[in-house]
Amino acid sequence: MFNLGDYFEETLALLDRDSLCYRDRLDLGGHIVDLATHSPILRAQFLPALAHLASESGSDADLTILYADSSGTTSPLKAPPMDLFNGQGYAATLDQNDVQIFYQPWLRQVFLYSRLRRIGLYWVINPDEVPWWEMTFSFRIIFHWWSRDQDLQLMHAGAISEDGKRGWLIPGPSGSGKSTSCLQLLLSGRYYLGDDYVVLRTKPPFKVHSLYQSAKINHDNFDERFTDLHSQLRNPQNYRDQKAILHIGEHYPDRLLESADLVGILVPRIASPGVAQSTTFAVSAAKALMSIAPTTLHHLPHHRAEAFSKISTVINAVPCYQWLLGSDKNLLTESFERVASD
Amino acid sequence: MHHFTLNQQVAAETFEDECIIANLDSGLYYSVQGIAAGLIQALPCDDPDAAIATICASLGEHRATAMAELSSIWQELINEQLVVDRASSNAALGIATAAKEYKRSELNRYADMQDLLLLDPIHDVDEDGWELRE
Repeated sequence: MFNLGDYFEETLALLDRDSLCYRDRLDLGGHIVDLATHSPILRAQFLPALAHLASESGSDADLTILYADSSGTTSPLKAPPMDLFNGQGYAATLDQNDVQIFYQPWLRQVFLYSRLRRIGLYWVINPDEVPWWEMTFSFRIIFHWWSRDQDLQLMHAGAISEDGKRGWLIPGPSGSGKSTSCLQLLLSGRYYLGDDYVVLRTKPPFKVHSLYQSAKINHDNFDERFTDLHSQLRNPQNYRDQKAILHIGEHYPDRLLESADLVGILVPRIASPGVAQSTTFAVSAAKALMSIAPTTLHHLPHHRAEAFSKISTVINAVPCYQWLLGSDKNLLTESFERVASD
Repeated sequence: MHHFTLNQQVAAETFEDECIIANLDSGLYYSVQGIAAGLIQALPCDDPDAAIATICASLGEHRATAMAELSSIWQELINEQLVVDRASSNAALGIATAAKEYKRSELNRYADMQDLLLLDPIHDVDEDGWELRE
């Protein structure tokens, strides 16, 4: 019988704590997050997406994430029983009230979190096997687990601010246009908080916090719209096999915003082919919830009830708009300006 | 004695005349539109026919149409296991409220974000249980 609590403790015990010498501190909307690893390679893989949140705060950490590969454990880590897990890395039959686990058996990595200890663990068999996407949303699932006990919710969404103070959430599944619109608005002088995952404060005052500075664009879209940015790519050799990845803080540090007041939600959708104009129109909270909750909860299958409730609370509190994205980038920017200035 | 209530694996959020229901196990979503959203607000409920009659009581010429729609949607809620009968529960009953005007009712099911429950089988693992690589 697999006991998740025991598995967490065994994994924690396997880590050679003295070797975790690469330590970093982040400030996520006033919450202090400590990261520690033994591996400069893993650090170079996971830290850059979060580097804009670097902090020298002397406060106690609200969350600690320890990450390692097999060279950083005192003996080999056993895999969890793979038959317990579905294709989303979720094990519905395990009691995950305290310890939570994310394990996709075709990847030789595992994420764990203890609510009691507020410690997240990440282990990968070796750094070469870290999937490229994990480096663009470092420790995503651990941040989701941790947010359960905070007035916070990780959202599958981008966020942009017109003026550096008032933020708009731009949620949606892959292909909805959220990354394209966020990058386009950044290039037109707006402030960027994220284009894939951001963190919401789910009680008044509602806020949106930046988590990752890594912008990700489908390669065909990048080639069509953003070729001028080729020199800024993190992965110029591989972006056609992955996604085009840019770290916004490295190139637009003055436009990368850590937090903003949440003033509204724009649910993007690509307009029909041939439509140049972008338009916005108000939608009901119910329609907005149907556009927002499924994509977030699909990728983050743990403690969905709490997450659904938090998302509903925010949607009820701010205006929601459908944003039909036309092909003309200047008209897209103008449509955002109109709704943001209302 | 019946005692119909929302399935515990379901989360529901009601907005004006629409209710969004999420099946937290499967990742299926449902939208209950029109006056049928009142069915969710009437839960828990021991007599669905009475609840439907109450919701439709003030709808005049639309009353019969509305009752037929609500009866059909109620059955769908049962079939989809969004509403379950927990006959032994003592939870307080909800209150059915008469709809002020007729709005056509629909139950829509959204499966585009349904969980991927199946894995491709992994045949070979190493001595620690991790997938074996070439």
